[in-house]
This record gives sequence, C-alpha cells and structure tokens, in this order.
Amino acid sequence: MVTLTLTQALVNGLALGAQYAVLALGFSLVFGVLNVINFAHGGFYMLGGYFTFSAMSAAGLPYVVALLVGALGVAVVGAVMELVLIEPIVDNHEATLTVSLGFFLVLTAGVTALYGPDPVPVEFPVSSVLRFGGLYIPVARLIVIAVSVAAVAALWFLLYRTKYGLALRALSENREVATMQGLRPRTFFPLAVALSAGLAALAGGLVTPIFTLEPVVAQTALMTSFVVVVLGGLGSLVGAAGAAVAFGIAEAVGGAYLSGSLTQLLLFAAVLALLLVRPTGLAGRRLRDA
Amino acid sequence: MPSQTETVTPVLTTTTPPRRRSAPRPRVPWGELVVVVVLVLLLLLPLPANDLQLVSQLNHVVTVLGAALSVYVMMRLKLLHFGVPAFMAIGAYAVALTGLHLTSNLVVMVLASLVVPAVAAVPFGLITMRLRGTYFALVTFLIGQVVYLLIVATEALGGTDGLPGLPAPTWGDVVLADQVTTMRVGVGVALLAVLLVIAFTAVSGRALDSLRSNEVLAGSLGLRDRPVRLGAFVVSAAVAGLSGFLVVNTLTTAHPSSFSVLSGVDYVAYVVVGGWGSVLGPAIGTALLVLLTSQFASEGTSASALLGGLLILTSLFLQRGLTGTVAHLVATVRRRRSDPRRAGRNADDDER
Amino acid sequence: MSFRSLRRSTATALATAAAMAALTACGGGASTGSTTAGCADGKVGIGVLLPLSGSAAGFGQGIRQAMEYAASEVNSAGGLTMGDAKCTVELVDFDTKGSAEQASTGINTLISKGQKIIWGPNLSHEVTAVQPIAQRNGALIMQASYSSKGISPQQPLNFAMVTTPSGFANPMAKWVAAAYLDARTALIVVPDNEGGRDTATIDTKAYAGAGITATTTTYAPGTTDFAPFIGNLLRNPPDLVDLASTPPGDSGVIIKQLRQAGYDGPIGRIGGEATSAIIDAVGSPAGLGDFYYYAAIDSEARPVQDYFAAFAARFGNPPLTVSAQALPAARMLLHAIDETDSTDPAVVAAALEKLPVDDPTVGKGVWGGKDFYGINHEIVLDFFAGRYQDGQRTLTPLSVTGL
Repeated sequence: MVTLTLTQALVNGLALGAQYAVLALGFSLVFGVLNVINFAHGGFYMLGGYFTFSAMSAAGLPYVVALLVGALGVAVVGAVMELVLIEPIVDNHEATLTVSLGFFLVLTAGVTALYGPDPVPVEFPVSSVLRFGGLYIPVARLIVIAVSVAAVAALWFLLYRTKYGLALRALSENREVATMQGLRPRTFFPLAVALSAGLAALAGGLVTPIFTLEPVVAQTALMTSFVVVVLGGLGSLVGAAGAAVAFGIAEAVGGAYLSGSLTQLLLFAAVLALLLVRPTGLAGRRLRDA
Repeated sequence: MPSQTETVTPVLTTTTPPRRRSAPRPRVPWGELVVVVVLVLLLLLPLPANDLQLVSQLNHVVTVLGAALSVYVMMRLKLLHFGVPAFMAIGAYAVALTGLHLTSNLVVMVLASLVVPAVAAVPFGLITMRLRGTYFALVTFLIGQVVYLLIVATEALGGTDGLPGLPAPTWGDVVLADQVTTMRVGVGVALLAVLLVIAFTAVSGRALDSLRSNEVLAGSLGLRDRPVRLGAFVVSAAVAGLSGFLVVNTLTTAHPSSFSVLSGVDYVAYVVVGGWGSVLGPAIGTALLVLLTSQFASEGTSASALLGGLLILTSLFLQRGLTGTVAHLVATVRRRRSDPRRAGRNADDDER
Repeated sequence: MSFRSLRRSTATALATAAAMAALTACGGGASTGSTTAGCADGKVGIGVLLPLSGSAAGFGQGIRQAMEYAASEVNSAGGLTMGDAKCTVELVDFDTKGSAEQASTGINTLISKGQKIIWGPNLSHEVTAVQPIAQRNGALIMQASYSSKGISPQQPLNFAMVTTPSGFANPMAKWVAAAYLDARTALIVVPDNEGGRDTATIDTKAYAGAGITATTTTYAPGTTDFAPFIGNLLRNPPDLVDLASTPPGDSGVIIKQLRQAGYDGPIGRIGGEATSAIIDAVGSPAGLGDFYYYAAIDSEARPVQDYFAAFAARFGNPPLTVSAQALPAARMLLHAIDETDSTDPAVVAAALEKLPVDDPTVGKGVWGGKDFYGINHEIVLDFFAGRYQDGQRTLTPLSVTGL
C-alpha cells in the first residue's frame, strides 16, 4: 500500500515537474540572455490559458490549434513588452524588475476586467484515465509530460543546434564581446522574451484546462517560477529543469503524506536553508554584479 | 562598523573624481529635516476630530510609512526587499502576544515590535547577505511566503483566525484608544522609525553608498560588505516591525491577511515611485500612493491597475523616483550655473 | 486647519481635493451623519464595502449587483420618498480587496463621507475589522459573511443578508441522511482559512445531528493540484465528501480529480452556493457525478430568470448568480429607509427588523438566527436541496420558515 501511494505520487509529481520545467526554463532564459527578472512571467502563463480558452470558445478552434495560436499570441505580447517597456531601460536591473511587475499587475487587472474574477469554463479534450494495479493516471497528465518534454527538447535544439540559439547563448555569456562581434541585442532580446513568453503560455494553455482557469493562477505560476529558479540557480537552464522536476515530485510526495500547507512550508523553508549553503542555488553560476 | 567606515573614508574621498567639485560642501539633509518636522507637527498640532476621513487617511499613511522605510533601507544598497510583510507580521504578532498576555504598556509594546523582528532577521539576513541584487529580490518573496505559512500553521498564533481583541496601549493610567489618539500614537511610532533610519544611514551611510556604487572596489578597499548588509537588514526588519505594531493597533486584531506576500509589492512601489535619496522619498511615495489607492477604491476602479501603471511610468521615466528626479534636476541646474562648460555631464550616484 | 510644510501641502491638497470630490459627488448628507426627512442634493447614499477585486471578487461583485439592481428599481419608480422629497439612491463604493485593513480604511472613509448605512462586508475578517468602528459610529451594517460573530445582541445595528450555515446546515444534513441511507462517514474539505474552518465546524455538528460522523481536512489556499491529497483520501474513502465553502475554482478541480481517481460516491456542498461557477470549473454538469448542494434559490424558476433578464436589459450583462440571493435584503433595506423617511441607522434598523421577508423574486422567509447568534437579524429563506445525477438536476424544497 505504501509503495502504491508513493508510485501514484511520483507519477503526479512528474507531471507537475514537467509543467514547472517549461515555466521555469522561460524565466531562466530571460534572465540569462537579458539579465532581467521578468515579473510578468506569471502573467504570460495566465494569458496563455485565456488566449487558448478564447480561441476555442470565441473562434471555435480545436484545442491543439487554439493552444498553438495562444502560445504564439502571447509570444507576440512578450516581444512587444520587451521592445516597449524593457528595451529602453534594459541595463537598469531594478527598473526592469519594477516595470515588469507593473506590467504583471496591469495584465491581471485587465484579464479580471475582461473575463471576470470567477473561473471560466474550459475543458481538456482528453479525459480518459488509465488504470492498472490500483494506480490511476489521467491521460491528460501523460500528455502534459509528453508536450513538456517535447518543448524542452525543442528549446535545447534551438539553443544548441541553431545559429539563433548560438547568438542567444553568446549574448548571455558575455554581452559586450557578443555585441562587438556583431550580434545586435535589439534583434535578439525580443526574441528571447517572445520565446520565454511562448513557453509560459504553452504551459498555461496546457495545464489550466486540467485544473482551473482564473486570474489568480498568474500569481501561483509566478511564485512557482521564483522558487524553482532560485532552487535551481538563476541563469542555469539545466538547473531550472532539474529543480522543477525535483520540486514537483517533492510537492506531490509531500502532499500525499502531509497536509498541503505543511508541505509548502517545508519545501520553501528547505529552499531557503539550501541558500545558506549554496547561495547561487543548486547549479547557478556566480552572478555578475547587480 | 564605525571603525571600518573611518578607515575607509579617507581612501574613498580620493577615489571620487576631484574635478567634480572644488571643495566638499556640507550637505544639509533637507529630506530628513522635512519629514521629521512634519511628523512632529502632526504629533502636536490640533486636528478636526470629527473629520474621520482625514484622521483615518493620516493614520493609514503613518502606519505603512515604517514598511516603506524598511524597503528604503535596503534600497540604499540597491536591493529590492519584497519580504517586508514577513517582518511586519513578526512585529505585529509579538505585540499581540505581549498585549494579550503580558502588559499593554506602550513602551513595552513598541520595544517588542522593534526587537523581535530584528532578532528574527538575523538568520534570514545570513541567508540573504550572500545574495546579489535581483536574486535577493526573489528570495525575499520566498521569505515572505515562509513566514506567512508559519504563522497560519501555528495554533498559538491563532492560525487562520488570527488573534483578536487586542487591548489598546496604555501610558501609565491613560488608555490610548480613541481615533485621534491612535493616530498620534501612529505618528509617534513613525517618527521613531524615521529617526532610527536616519541614525543608521548617518552611521553607515558611506559604507552603504560605496557598496551601492561599486561593491568590488569597496571590497578591495577593505570594506566588508556582509556586516553592513546584515545591519541594514536588521534595521529594515525593526522598522517593519514598528509598522506591524501600528497595523494591529488600528485593527485591534493580528490577522494573517494583513501581511500577505503580495502586499510587499505595495511597499516597494511606495519607494520606487517616491525615490530613495533620503527619507523624503518613501514618505512622499507612501502619502501619494495611499491617498491615490484610497481614492480609486472609492471609485471601485482597479487599484492594482493604477499601481501597475504607476510602476511602469516611473520605471521608464522617473528612474530615480519623484524625489530623486527632482534632486537630480536641481543638481543639474546648479551645476550648469556654476560651470557652464560642464553642462550635460551626468550626475554621479550620490546626488540621487 | 492648514499645514504649511512643503510635503504636507501637497498631500493635504490631494486629500482635500479627494474629500471634496467625494462629498460633492455623493452628497449623502453632512459628515455628522444622520439626516431625517429630505436628502442632501436629492440623493440617498448606500455605502458599499465589498471585495470588488481580489480572490473574493466573485462574491463581492455579485452582492453589489443585488443592491445595484434594487437601487435602479427604486430609482426608475421615482426614487425613495423621504418626507416631501423624492431622493435617488446612489451607491458609494469602497473596494476592500478582501483585506481587513482595506475594510477598516473603507468603513472610516464611508462614515466620513456621511454613509452610515453599509451594504457589506463579505468576508469574516473584514467584518471583524469593521465592527468596532461601525459600532462606535452608530453605523448599520448589512453584511454577507458566515462569521459566527457577524450578528449578535451586542450589535443591534448588524444584520446578515443571507442565510448562514447555522440556518441551513441542519436541514441539509437531515436531507442528506435521508437521501443517502447508507452514508455513515463524511469528509469535509475546506481551505485553511477562517471562513473555511468556521463552516466546517458548523457542518460537522449538523452531520452529527443527522447520524453521520464527519471529519475535516484542510488544504493550503493557492493549491492548484489536489491529486496528492486525493490520493490520501482514497486510502480510506469516506461515504460522502463535502466541500463546504471551498471557492468554486478549487471545488471544480477537486471534483474533477476525485472522479478521475475513481471516487464514485456522492460529493456535496453544505456551504455558500456557487453551483454555476463550479459547473464552469468542472466543465459540464455531467462531470459532477452524484453531486448535492445547498441551493439558496431555484435559478431556473421563472421569477429568478426574469430578474436575470431584467438585469441584463438594464446593465448590459446578466448578473452573477449569487446576486439573486442578496436581492431580498437589498430591497428590504431600501424599503426600510423609504418607510421611515430616515437614514438614521437606529431608526432604519428598528423598521428593518419588523419588515416581513417576502420577496417577489425569491419568495418568503423569516428573520431568524436567535438560536445560534442570539438575535433574529438573519434573513432566512426557504431553500432547496439540489442534486445532480447524470447531468440532470433535481431540487427538493426544504422549508425552514414553516411557510
């Protein structure tokens, strides 16, 4: 019986971890390339959910198309945000943080005004459940894992096997040298934010139909991004992905045996304790001066 | 710490470019003076007691001024502190427990709200003092979340119901309960917070400024950053605790909902909008935003959209906050007048 | 009084401007408060102190809509008759954002604008923050919380606008015991906050009175994935799962995941009604499985449908369903003001508690609450036990008023 609970929790945890990974990778990417902490990240997650919902309900698109359209739409929003709000002040770390925070507040208020504060009716198209040996695995969760893995793989491919990815990595390693070599931040920064926003929106559009879609999901997504990225280390993509999966599993396993509040408390406290020993997180690199 | 600043000071003045000014002129702390004078006036001047709204607004402003000051102290190190609600809560609950079980003496309550968060800040400070800039910001969010969850999980602190029925503070035989008196208590405590912060920045000001402008250089000159950062974090927690005291004094209840993690964003906004060159910045930011959000709440319009818009505008156009931008303009005008050849040169950091 | 310092004059100017704008806009009487016959500027103000944003906005806005509609009804009929004058009803809003201190600021602001008749607050901790100030200033509060201290004999100017769990939990529990004869155990699921725990306590007692042993489990507010805790639940499946006053979004996820996990037993909700929001969150009525709930009103009934349509016609969008529940209270409050020609809270309160509860949209009820609160200041309406099976809904009327 114990192993059954544990196994069930592990499966749930993997699904959670997979979506956290997609979310955290985008957040970490923007920090790596632009050196910007993007508070609006949670807002992109929420927007992804709402764009997908609207694409399905108002435009009648089938779910998969709606999801892609939603992710693309939010990617555009991200690029525009970068060009208008971040680009003028990209070297001022406090200002970019507060401007993205301001944008997050405006996004949330806007969505609440448009769609209302209550949850909106959105359903995941697949609701079948696999059952064997006392375990139950909603197929939806397997799909989340599969799509997340695909997204992470695509990101990896983009970053490590294409010229654009090389440019992004160069800019993140050493912006001055990269710029001198001819890489123009003005071209790549919006791309990086668009990519990050698209990833967050993909996670949002994928997960909110399974759980619930209401404006407050933006906050939860933001907090999760923070804790996972702090745990994994800012600027490290591998760290972010690994921390995401670890956190998801810990959350699920903890939740299966302890009360929810206690699990959250223990997890957050553990992350803080870790920072005592490793201030840059599990795999973070030494940050350049703030 | 004083010995470090003394060793460092002579070396630092030689590193500031001597061309900028002919002789170091003593800087009158106008910002600090204005705020102290205003608070003293509010403490002493008679007020229309039946103008509930004015009294209530003033009370609200002085109540959260401590929270803004808490952010301000860390801003002097270019660090954004989002965990202020956590230390407000610690101060608040310390006062609540004191008032409910020990004594309602005002002095004891104020001390409790000062000392307990300051002590609690030490372990958190040890975690954060090794963190750089924006990383610090993220972690302070986590601290806020952890403290909130801890409070809610603790039955002795009332859990989700909080601790209601706090007695009003007493001064000898006098019970300080009615609305105007509560406001004056608020002004007094806010004044205490301001003085604390002024004292801290006076003592450690140079260390703070040099860490802010160039940490590596300061370090190589012998300035140890960790004690300064820890000290700042502790002072920041203490003034946050004072603010927490005022919150529960107004509500007569210590309730977790008063200290939500997202409310930390408001306090940061007060300082970002107001400026952080002197305590005038947080004071102006607090007064302005408290009044504006209250006005918007009365119109049922979204106050968070307003706050978001203001944050965006100040981040793009008023990067030194209101007071900082004004100070910068004044300094530029002054410099143009004194030396037209150098018009257009950027102001250096310590004119923010 | 004028303060001549640099910063103060700016802030004072702002505060003065704000206060002046507010006073001229509302004109709800002088700042000393009560008026007798007649009204300043032809207007009577009702202070609205509700969470209009934040996580409780669904309830806050719905409750506001009830007063908005009642006011527009009165205004289109010419307004309130105050002595010889006809006065329009105007809502004076303050958004509490669901926080105790905003509520406390709000009550001060409203009172200083001359509003001493308050529609709201909504949440238990808001009510706790507001009560001392309201009492000190003699303001009337018509609140919508489930706080066990929401009304009491010590606060004669406090009223409860909707039936609270103490009013509906017992009859509901007895209906549940009769509808599910084999049920012996129940698990109550609530968020870990004041409102959640209060309702759970009342429900536990009610179930006990009906012969069902109930235990409570809490979850952290902000949880998105309930799967871990459902796994826990299923190790010892209870006969019933009761969601009490869990917010609709969370309720939807819990129901979805319970069904996915293979739990076929009845899921119920002896708590504030939020059925349409829950169905939205689940996706469709069929997804609910066997679901029972406290239905304050029959939303398909003709008069209620007419109200929804009339609201949509006046304001452009249909109202949130919860507004129908608060409609009787809104109409009664305005009626009491009209009848007494007064906005003096004590006078209005005395008239209010004698008014019969008989609403054209929602039906008959009584003033109740004496047993639980010590004072009959709770509007108790006959309600229904709702049940969904295979996507089909049945409503069983349950009379508490004996009418």
